[in-house]
Amino acid sequence: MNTLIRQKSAENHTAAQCCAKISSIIAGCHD
Amino acid sequence: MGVKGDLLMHRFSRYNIMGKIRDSENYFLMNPLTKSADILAPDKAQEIINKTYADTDELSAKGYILDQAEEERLYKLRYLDFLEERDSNEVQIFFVPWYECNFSCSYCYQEGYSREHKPLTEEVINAFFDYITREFADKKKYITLFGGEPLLAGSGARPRIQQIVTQAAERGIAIAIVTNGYNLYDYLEVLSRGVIREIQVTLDGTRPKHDGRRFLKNGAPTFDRIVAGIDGALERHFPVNLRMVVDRDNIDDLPGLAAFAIDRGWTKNPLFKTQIGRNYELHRCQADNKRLFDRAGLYEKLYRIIQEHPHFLEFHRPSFSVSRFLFDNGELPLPLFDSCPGCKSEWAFDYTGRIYPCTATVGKEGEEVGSFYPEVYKRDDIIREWESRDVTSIPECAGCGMQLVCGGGCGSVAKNRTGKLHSPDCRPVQPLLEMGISLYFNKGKI
Repeated sequence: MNTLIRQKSAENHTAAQCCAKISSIIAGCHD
Repeated sequence: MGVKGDLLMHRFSRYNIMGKIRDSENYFLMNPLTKSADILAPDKAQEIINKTYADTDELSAKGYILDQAEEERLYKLRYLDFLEERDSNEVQIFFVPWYECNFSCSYCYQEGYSREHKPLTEEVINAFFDYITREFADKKKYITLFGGEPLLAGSGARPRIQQIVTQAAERGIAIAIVTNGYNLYDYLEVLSRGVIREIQVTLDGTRPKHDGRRFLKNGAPTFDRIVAGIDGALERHFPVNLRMVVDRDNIDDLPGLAAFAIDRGWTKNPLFKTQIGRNYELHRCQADNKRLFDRAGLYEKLYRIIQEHPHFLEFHRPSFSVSRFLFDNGELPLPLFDSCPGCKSEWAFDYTGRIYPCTATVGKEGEEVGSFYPEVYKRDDIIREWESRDVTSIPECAGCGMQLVCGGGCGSVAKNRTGKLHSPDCRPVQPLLEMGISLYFNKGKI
């Protein structure tokens, strides 16, 4: 098994930040 | 001890997601609860499928195999983290100054809405600011102007938009704008009086394709004026988010639009970003719905476009579920217990004084959850129903292994489909990951 997780001590990225990267205004949620 | 002998205490996590990486012989294994993600050779993948994996140490260390009680404890902990984080989230407050629009797009989802013809008054704007200042006093917040088209020409619209921009600036609230871009250039001076967080503008392709889909009510073309507006906004250092609404009629024009944006220098500007919007049926059927993609179909097409036109990635990097996030950040996001922001981190207000849960519902009859003018009230029972919608409240999500990546989807779409708010709007998580991991991780080469 080869991990895709980088070994680093990063802060947790939140789901909201994830969504924000997908779409900052609309469409991320209702599509 | 092999997996079979160990099953009494430990088992494969119900949140494991496994799939075959597109155009590869390898597989991926992911667990959003334990935040692990791995590439597997075919023989190892087959062992997991057959539950005959000989060495459980690595699977256990990464949280793919774990004690059921430990999994439940972790789920509860992550859910509490999620609620706490959501509570501290910034709130996006949409304001619709009118539903009128100067465009006549063939796919407009608001076309069937009934219109209440009364002008937006200064009194309504004051009532809006009074309400949000009071109601969201302890929240970080920003306002997004929405429509219809908020940036209309004419003496009726401009002073009202100016008033909103100015009042927001006085309160230290940033403004985002969702506009078709036709009058953007003419509004730049007004917007410069506020703190502009982002301007979302839509181009549906290069000039001929765009002008055939997004035209004025009299049929006149719009591409050149929108491009001038984007140029002007970037010159003033306003962030621009270019959106393309795609279906089968215009998707093949995307590489052309990407080349246009690259040539124009937009993609080199850190203030410029892009998003792809799917043309889909939100509240009503479209006459020509054969041209519409479902979610997985759209990503299949984007996957092929990227193979054939690698320059497209300079213009837009599709998310493919959490694939791009994993590549960019080297880790998975926290579990997504809820993907519907309605009545949580999103609210929508309109010029009639009504309050709605979100952009999908704003202006739709029967979806109001309160009023800020002339009366002030909230329908707490309905708001509670929206607030409590997440994967723990949707019965169908309980048995679904994708729930912590999907988040239960859109409440409005789910309600339109099933009649129940607490029902799922499922996302095609696995096929998107199969494509996305291939795309962002070099076809899953070990």
